[in-house]
Amino acid sequence: MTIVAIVFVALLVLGLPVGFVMLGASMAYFVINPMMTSLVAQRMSSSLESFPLLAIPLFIVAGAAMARGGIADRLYAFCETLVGHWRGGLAQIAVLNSVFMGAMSGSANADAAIDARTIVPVMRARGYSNAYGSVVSAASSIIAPIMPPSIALIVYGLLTNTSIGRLFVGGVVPAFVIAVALMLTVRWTATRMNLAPARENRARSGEIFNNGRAALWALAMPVMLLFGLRSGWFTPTELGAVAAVYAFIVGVLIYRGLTFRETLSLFSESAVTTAGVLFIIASASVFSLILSLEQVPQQLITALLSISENKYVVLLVINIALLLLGTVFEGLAIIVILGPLLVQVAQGLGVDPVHLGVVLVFNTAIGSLTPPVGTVMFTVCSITRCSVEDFTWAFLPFLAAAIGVLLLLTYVPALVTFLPNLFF
Amino acid sequence: MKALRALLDFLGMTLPALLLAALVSVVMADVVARNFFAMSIMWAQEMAVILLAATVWLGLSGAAMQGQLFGISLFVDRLPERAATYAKLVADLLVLLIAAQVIRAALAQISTARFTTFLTLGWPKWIMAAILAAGMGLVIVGRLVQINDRLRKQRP
Repeated sequence: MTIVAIVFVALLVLGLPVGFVMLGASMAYFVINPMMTSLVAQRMSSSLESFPLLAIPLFIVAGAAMARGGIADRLYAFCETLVGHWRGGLAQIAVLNSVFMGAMSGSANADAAIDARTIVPVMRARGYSNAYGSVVSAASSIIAPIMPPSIALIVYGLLTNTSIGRLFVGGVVPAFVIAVALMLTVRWTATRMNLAPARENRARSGEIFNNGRAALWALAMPVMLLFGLRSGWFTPTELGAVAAVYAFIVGVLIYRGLTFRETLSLFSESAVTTAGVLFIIASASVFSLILSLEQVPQQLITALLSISENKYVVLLVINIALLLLGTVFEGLAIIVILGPLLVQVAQGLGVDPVHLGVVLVFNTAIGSLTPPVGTVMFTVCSITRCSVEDFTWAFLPFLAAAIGVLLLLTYVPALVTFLPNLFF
Repeated sequence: MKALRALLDFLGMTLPALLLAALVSVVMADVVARNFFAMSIMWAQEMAVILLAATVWLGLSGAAMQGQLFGISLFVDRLPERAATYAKLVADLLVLLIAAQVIRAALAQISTARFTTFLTLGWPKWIMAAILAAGMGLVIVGRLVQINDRLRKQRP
């Protein structure tokens, strides 16, 4: 395992793409521990043979269609009338926009990709740094994995036999808590950087009404999609395709923002983004096999649990372990490997599995933004051409806020469990 | 060289775009068939998974050519110019080596998974490994083209 760690760090330092870093380290392991060579290809192929995983490309296409077809523009204009007069208005709009977009996509990657395409160029034009714009787009996307219909919560629910309905309802209050925390962070950073509001005066109610009406097709989308999901018309994965087609129809026929040429370039961009993100997931599945063989996650959790028998200390320790693992692992991989294990630990301590699920998913969402392996960070940086180093520095205040919310959700379980207990 | 670039562009950018469009269509068609015609397209899920694999592995070369495969360049960027050039060359060679190893693994997978098939489509499962091998092959060719371009630029 030491050799694997050395190879991992060496390849990372040499600047190899992260997917190749994980593959290279895995191959070093297979050289030392001779196994069937075909295992690497088998793991890489089978990691993509998952129907729920299809949600990623589908929502990336949906996001791109919303961004180019006019849905995102209408939502953006509506959000601008609501919070544009606040300090750092564009960044505030990005956060509020993510609340709406999160309710449509359920995927941090899709939401971040939309913001990076739509809001970051405007931010740059208005004097915001590229790194700050990229970070705001990425950070605000952590609302999506908590807001229903969250893909990560669905995966957790399936693996741990937890009610997906309860998980969805349990994510609503935390999603708004995260949004408020991000808005406060934006306000603080905007004051420090002297970022002006997006508009000089508060919008009049008539203007808010007009923009709300213009965005009606966009605002109706999450409601209709959730209705279809709850009625059993389509699965959460298929929701991505339905959202994409809906965005295409609205973009072509109603908002008239999509042309044939735009459509081809949209698919081309989406395919490249999909390839970049899923290559990391496929490589991570090979790498996580090695860690599983060496029982690294279990050893880490056991070691951390041996520190105390106090429920709150254990939850703190689990959070720290997950945050550390999140820096090098893909969030979905952590949920798949550790979700079922942690549920057993949590049930022994009397922790509600819905509460654990929301905390676990939010924790891994934070991990998706931290280097060296952060899929959302890579998605945003690949669109905005921001360096990982600049992104990391600008992300620090948002990381502090996200960890603050994580601790709040961990130690005030009612924030998660109140609504599900009320509804179910 | 121009023809090779055009071929790489088609296989790494245009074809994955078309495959992705097909993926959205297949999943949507299944939803429509189920809800409006009370019949499910049995092979839709398997087809969608194959289309996803093809999009990812072929699109990987497009992502690599466009510089969208992210790494940490912090350390190499701090090196003196000459050392950085060597470091980048070493990194390129390592990528070629790793991609070649994946192709080797994929070929081994093809020979061992010869008899398993997709349940409803009936297609052999080794096509997934074959697409992976093809994608890595494209990554190698694309990376060689990029190395060639870089060396030409540096030549006085």
